[in-house]
Amino acid sequence: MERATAPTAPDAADRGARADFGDQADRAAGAGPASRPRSPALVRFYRRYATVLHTICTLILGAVIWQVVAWHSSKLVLVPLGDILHAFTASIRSGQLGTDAAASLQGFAEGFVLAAAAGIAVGVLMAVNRVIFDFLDPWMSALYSTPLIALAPLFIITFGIGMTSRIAVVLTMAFFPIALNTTAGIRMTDANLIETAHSYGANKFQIFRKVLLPSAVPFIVTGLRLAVGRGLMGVVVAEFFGSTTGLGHTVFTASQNFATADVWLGVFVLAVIGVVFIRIMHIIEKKIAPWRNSRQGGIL
Amino acid sequence: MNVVDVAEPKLARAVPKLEARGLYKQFYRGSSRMDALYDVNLVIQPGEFVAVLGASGCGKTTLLRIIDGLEQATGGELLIDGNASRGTGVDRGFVFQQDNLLPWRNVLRNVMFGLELQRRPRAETKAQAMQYIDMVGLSGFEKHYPHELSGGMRQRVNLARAFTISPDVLLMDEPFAALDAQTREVMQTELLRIWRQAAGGRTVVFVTHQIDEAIFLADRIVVMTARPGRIKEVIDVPFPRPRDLHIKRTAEFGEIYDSIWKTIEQEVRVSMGMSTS
Repeated sequence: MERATAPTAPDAADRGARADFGDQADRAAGAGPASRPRSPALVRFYRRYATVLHTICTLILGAVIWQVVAWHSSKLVLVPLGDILHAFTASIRSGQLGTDAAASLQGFAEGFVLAAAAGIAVGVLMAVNRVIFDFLDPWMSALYSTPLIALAPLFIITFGIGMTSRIAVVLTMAFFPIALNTTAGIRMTDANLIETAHSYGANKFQIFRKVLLPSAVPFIVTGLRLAVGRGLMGVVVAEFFGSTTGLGHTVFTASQNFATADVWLGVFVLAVIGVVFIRIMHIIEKKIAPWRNSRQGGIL
Repeated sequence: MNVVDVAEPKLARAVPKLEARGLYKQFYRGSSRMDALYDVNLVIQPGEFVAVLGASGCGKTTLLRIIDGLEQATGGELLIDGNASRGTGVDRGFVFQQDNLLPWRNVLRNVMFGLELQRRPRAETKAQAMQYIDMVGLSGFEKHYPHELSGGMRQRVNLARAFTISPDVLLMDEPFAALDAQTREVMQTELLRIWRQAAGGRTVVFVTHQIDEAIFLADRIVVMTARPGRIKEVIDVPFPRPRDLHIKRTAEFGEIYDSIWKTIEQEVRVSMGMSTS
């Protein structure tokens, strides 16, 4: 039985036959063979920072359009950016903006964390247990597509004016996209990967922990991203009716006093909060799901 | 083959590694029944490299899945080391046709997967994994993710993952079928080298539909009939080991190839629904 013997000379010959390593390195180096003429410096700068440059351009373009439209429309609807900037500095100085933003952020963050925990938990249960899925799915689908925001006044009646009702509305709004995406993500796990884990002797818990959950991460993050927008909507509406502080409350009172610049200031701050949270989700996704980096730039 | 044969003292090796006794497998779809395996009897000794050759859809994969425990036989018995098999186990490693690597794990962590499931100490798991990554020639690629590798490299990782759990039996389901012809030839040579290097003289059951692959790799070739799969013929391959690709150009190789092709052509025609005349 020769197969029990130690590796001998033919191994060296076998090693020589490894041909398929090169293509990886080639692909990586494919961007610029030495023979190709170098592009002008400006073109290279543009290629390198294209996305940043595009973002700056579109922001400037947006500001220009805003100003042009603002000159031609009622000051009750659109005010020039200068007025909003003025409102911003005034509000910072008085401390109003800080207080509002802190109150809204706290309500949003607490509601969002609760929604994430509950949404992922319920989503997992629905994905792994058929009975739970069958019982919950009709309600989940119905409630997800219902504009639950209409129920905000009822939450305020129930939880009173203040932080609790805010958190409750955010939780209600943010919960459904997280739960539904978690379920979808786990259910879409490649069956071949599950079978591979089975064949390696994985038990149910290991299959969940090491296959289903990691495979669902990109879906869960997508759910969290959708939940950011809905959660912010929730905090604002809750503050419209059931609060004496917060960005939503200030926007609401400002609009009733025809202080349009203050209305837009509140909206801009909310937009920035939304963008920041979505960026955070992106960063988390890149950290825990680096294999799922979505394509940079255009597909065609 | 019946039970008495196994007990006969003249068989030097006391207990076969694997033994299929009258295996049947039926699949049901709605009310229709499909026979995948029909009375399959097979004895495989420890350390043997056996290729299972057959037309597509002949049930060769089903046989492999039953051996692994991923599938239950409808009838008959499967013995491993003389004991009836119960489900999957770490004594058997399965190499799937697709590499089935976990996309969120890099090469090292993919190779560690099997031992990790057995809750071995991390240091030991890592050392084992590194050893087999080196053996499949992927040192330096430990931190790469599957999507950064070529098909041939991914299949090497797949092999390393299976070898790392040190299974007594390696079950391979057309592992090179998805690779291009040249990469496949290289991988066949590589497989024999790794198999030789890996300690313990493991038993391999290698399912393929390629005659030359079967001859090149195996000690014995089991030719299966078209559905329902039965064993039509078992052929001993006379080439000594270690083998290299040159044996594929020899006249003897050609003769074996032709004789197997004659056996199998008829089955291929049946599986294609053509006449056998």
